[in-house]
Formats: sequence, structure tokens, C-alpha cells
Amino acid sequence: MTDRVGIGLVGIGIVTVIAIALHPASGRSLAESGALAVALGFGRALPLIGLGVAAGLSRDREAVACGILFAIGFTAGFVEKDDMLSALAGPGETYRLFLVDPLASLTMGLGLAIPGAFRRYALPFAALIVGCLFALSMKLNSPDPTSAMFPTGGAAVAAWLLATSALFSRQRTARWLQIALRIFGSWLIAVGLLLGGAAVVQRSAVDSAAPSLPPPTVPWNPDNNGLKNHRPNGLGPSAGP
Amino acid sequence: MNDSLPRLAPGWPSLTARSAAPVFLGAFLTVILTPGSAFAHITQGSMGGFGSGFEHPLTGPDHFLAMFAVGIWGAQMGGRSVWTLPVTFPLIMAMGGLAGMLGLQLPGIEVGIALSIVALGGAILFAWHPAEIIALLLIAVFAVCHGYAHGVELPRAADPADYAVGFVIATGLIHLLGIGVGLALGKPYGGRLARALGGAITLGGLYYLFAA
Repeated sequence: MTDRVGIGLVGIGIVTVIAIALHPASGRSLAESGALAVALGFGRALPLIGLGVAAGLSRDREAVACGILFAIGFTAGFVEKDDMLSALAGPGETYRLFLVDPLASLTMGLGLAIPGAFRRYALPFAALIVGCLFALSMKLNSPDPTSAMFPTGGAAVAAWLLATSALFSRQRTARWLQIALRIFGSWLIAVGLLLGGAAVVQRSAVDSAAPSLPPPTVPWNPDNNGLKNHRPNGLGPSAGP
Repeated sequence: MNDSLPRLAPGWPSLTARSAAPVFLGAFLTVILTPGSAFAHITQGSMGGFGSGFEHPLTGPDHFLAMFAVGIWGAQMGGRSVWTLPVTFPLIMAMGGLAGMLGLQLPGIEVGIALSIVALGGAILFAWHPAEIIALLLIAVFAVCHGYAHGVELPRAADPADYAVGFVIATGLIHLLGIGVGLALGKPYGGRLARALGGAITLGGLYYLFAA
């Protein structure tokens, strides 16, 4: 029964993603663009799949807790995005904004690679952090920062990935699945390290090469209403008797 | 344990890791003292996204053979090594990739890649089962070489994110393929098929060291 539901969900999701992808890019809505950004963005999709599989292998209460904490993290990241992004990257450090996806990959990878006995305690925290970083990633990549539709579309696909991954891994006690999960966790860590390194190398070079503005040649005087009374040739209201 | 290994063929001497060690040591010294003898690849030119990253380990026979051998060797050793080797390799490979991206100059990468094929193939051929820490250290050294080769190309990729995901996934899948093949070939004929495959991999490595 669970497998049938999972297969049905996968089928519906795949058909939906293909239908959206077949739309010309100019004709897609923000929600559709957000959905594709997650479905076809391996860097965002893989941590979600890992979280779903790990939650599916956990007990029911732990799986539900992971889902709830992911939603809480997503909400927190969506609401407090400005404060969080400011904390992440200051002036001249915009390259750090590209670390959001690598951090999510690293977090989930660590949560999966550790032994199973510790994973049940680490997984809820990983779900919270990944949810928050996912929300930040969606806001950063949204073509319209004032609209919530892009993150909403992405959140819908994220929920689909989590649900289908959890459904397929539920009630599977094969030891090889636990081993495969740890191997997958190492992949996520490797991806996170490589993406983070690429972001630091490429983007920090762009930040450091940004031209700095020259200092102003005329001092600004608020008492004289700025430059209004400044005349190089001495003419003007303030000049003469 | 090594002395009780079955012979590869009737009439052949019993090959053990201990007896083959001087041969490999001599080959190793010959290689590192011979300049420009290795031709394992670091590709040039612009790269794409996920597809390019995914196909890089697959279409590079040197990368493929090494990753494949890691999986077979882990399966041959059995126990924890079935998964500790495929878990360790991508992690250390990422470190090597970072070194490549940062432009650090690591000497002998191409030699290292070719040697990895020879060493891993030889380990399978002689059914060498060292202590886990030794196997992991060996894997780590080779992972740095392979990761560095990938990392050098990553910043030039049109989409570095998808490129990195592509080659990490491809690497992992090749490991899994090697584990599957290693487990399948480990039992028939006392594991001789797996060891013969290791010999073929070793020959491939020697080709990259000297003749490519």
C-alpha cells in the first residue's frame, strides 16, 4: 500500500515537472519557476531526498518531528531572511550568499554519514537547519524578491521530494539501505565542500575586484545646502557684497 | 593468511602480497624516478554542467578504473570495508578538489592517478587485506589525486554546482558498481575471477604509467 502511494506520488510529480519544463521559460509563473529550480537543481534536491530517506527509516514520531522541524526552519528562514542573510554576509562578502546551498548539503551529509545510533538525535537538528537554508536559497534565487510565489513553488516540490523519499524507505529494514545512506551522506558532504570551495574561489575574486568609488572632490556642507552656493568662479548669491 | 591463498592457475606459483611487494616497490621507484612517464588525464577546455561532470569519471578510463577498483577491493575485503572505502573516498576527493580549485600546486598528480590504478588493481589481484587504517590511508592518497584533477576543472565549468554534483554522483555509482561486481565475483572459483579482474585493472594502470 505504501509503495503504491509512493509510486503514485512519484508519477504525479514527474508528470507535473515535465509539464512545467515543457512550458517556454517566458511563459512560466513564479511558482512554476520555483518548482523547477528545486526539481532540476541537484544541489537543492539531493539534501531533501537524503532527509526524506533518513526520516523514512526512522520511527514514526521521529519522522513526523523531522517534517515539522523542516517546516519550522523553512518558515523561520522565510520570515527572518533579511536578518539571517545579513548575519551570513556583510558588505563586500556577497560570495558568502552562495554558501547557502553548500551548507545545506554539508549539514544533511553529516546527518546521514554519522552512525545510526547518533543519527536519530542529529536528524531533527539537520532538518531544522536544512529547512531554514532552503528558504534562504529560494529567496536568494527568486526573480521577484517581493513575491512569495517562487518559494511557494519550491516548497511544494520540496514537500513532494520529502514525502516520496520517506514513503519509499519506510518499513525497509535491509542493512544495505543503512550503508547506502551513509555513502549518500558522504556524497552530500563532498558536494557541499566542492560547491562551497567553488563559491569562495570564484565569488570572492569578484568581490575583491569590484571597483571602489573615488573620494568626492567637493566637500558637502549641510549648512549651505550642499553644493548649491559653491561657485568655482565666485559668482552666485553668496559671492559679492 | 596470505600464504594460504589459492593459486591463480595450476602450476603457477602461489602469489602473495609479501612476495609481490618487492616487485611493486621496484615498479613504484622506477615510475617516480622516470619523468613524464604517466599520461593519466587532466582534461583541458571548457566544461558544462551536470552532464559534463557526470560523464567525466565515466569517460575517463583512468578515473573509471580506479573508482571501480575501490569498490571491488572493498567488497573483496568484506566487513566494514565494503562501505568505509566508498564513504572515505568522496570525502577525501573533495579535499583534493578544493586544492585544485584553490590553485595549489601538487606534484605528480597524473602519476598518482595512474599509480592508483596499479596499486588498487594489484591489491585485488593479490587479495591484499591490510588493516583498515592502512587501506583507508592508501585510498585517501589516491582520492586526493583524483579529486585534484576534478577540482582543477570545476571553476571552468559553465555550472560548477551541477558539475560537482555530477562527478561526485558518478564516482559514487562507479563505487557501487565495483562493490556489486566484487561481491558477485567473490565467491565463484574461490574468488579467482575477482583477482583476475584486478590483474586486468593493474595492466590498465601500467598502460597509463608507461604507454599512453
